Amino acid sequence: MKFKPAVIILIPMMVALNLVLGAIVATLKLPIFLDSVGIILTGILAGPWAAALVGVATTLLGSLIVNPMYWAFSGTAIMIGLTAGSLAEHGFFRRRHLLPFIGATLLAGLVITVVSALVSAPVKAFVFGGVTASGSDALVVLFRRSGNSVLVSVLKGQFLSELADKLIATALAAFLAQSLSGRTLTWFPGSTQRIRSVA
Amino acid sequence: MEGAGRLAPSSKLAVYLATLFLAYSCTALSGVAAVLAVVIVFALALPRDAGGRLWQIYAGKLSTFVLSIFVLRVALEWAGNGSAVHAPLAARDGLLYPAARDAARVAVLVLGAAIVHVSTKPRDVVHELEQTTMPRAGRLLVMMIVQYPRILTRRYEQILEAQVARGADRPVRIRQRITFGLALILPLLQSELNAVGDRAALIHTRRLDVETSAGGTWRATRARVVVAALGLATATLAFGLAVRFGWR
Repeated sequence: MKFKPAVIILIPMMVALNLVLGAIVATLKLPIFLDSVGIILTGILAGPWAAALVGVATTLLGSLIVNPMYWAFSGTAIMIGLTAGSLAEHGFFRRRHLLPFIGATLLAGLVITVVSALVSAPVKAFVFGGVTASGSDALVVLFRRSGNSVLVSVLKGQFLSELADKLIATALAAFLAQSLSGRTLTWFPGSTQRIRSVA
Repeated sequence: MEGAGRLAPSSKLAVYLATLFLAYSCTALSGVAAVLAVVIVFALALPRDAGGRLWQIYAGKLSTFVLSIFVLRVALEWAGNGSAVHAPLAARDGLLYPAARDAARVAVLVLGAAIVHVSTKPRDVVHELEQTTMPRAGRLLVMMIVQYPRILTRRYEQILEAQVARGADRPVRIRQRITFGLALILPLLQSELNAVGDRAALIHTRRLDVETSAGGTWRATRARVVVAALGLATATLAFGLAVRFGWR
């Protein structure tokens, strides 16, 4: 796998974005994470493999400087990157008209949510016993109280918290991608076709 | 812990991950507590400057994190397991045992990450990368990943100072700082992204993405320390596997 110079610049930038947003949200103890905006944006601009690499780098570096539990969610970050990149290649972030674009972005956010919740729930349940000191733990306790098993409680809690998180993250990434100049997009082969409607 | 300074970052990471594996393999609280005790000894044996930074940066974070895990774990046990309420508190099926075990594991997690963080300077990572046979573009990528958050923070501080110089209030409270940071981060990223082309061109012009022969050789003493660290990591992993699957 060989990355172009623009992608070599993009990856650290997106890792930093993820870590800064993740740190802000962790400080506020909100039930969302916002640490995947950079992964999704890389998926849109540079494809699934670069996005997966951003995911791995975010979780490894984030373990040391933001939240030590990040490393365990490397698989989730990889899957988010691969999913976002594949969705971008299938035109989910291409803007033709405003309403279909919003609809497609929300649908992409939903798909990323489902993938993310399915991959992260077993890790949270089996490795960390269901709690990671994040905002979604309250939801897990609530679902557990209503008689669900730990895994099902975590899955439900993750889905609810990830839904808001991934919808916001996907929307932010789509907004950032749309706001880039055509000159910038030419540095990422294929990104113009993934983002703009080309006649 | 003089060796910690000489140890390559990748070796520290290997030892840390192996220790974590061991902590998460132990199902008994006493086993996890023993691993935590070893990690605490490592933390106390750090050189004075790194040790000082460790407790200064992480003492609050460690206690808050460990305490929240403990409380939330007790809440989860209480919510899901009615019998645990009636069992003796410290019994294996009681409320406190699993919570204390998970809190101890998290303490290993946080303290280990803190030790790796305070004892590793970005230039150590750069130094190690310069001596590997990794492709040049890959080395450049890892160096930039390590350095870029600091560059972004510096740019943020420059903009903040410029705003304050123009008469804006300096954000003091954490909420003000976060609001200010959020308002700044996306436009900052937009401008950085739009500058990607120029930087990529610069990299290509200076041929930093082109393969050259790897320079430098491992110094023998350093190589011995690295091999010892990797041996320790492997032994820890093996011990973890034995504890997990052999000694039930």
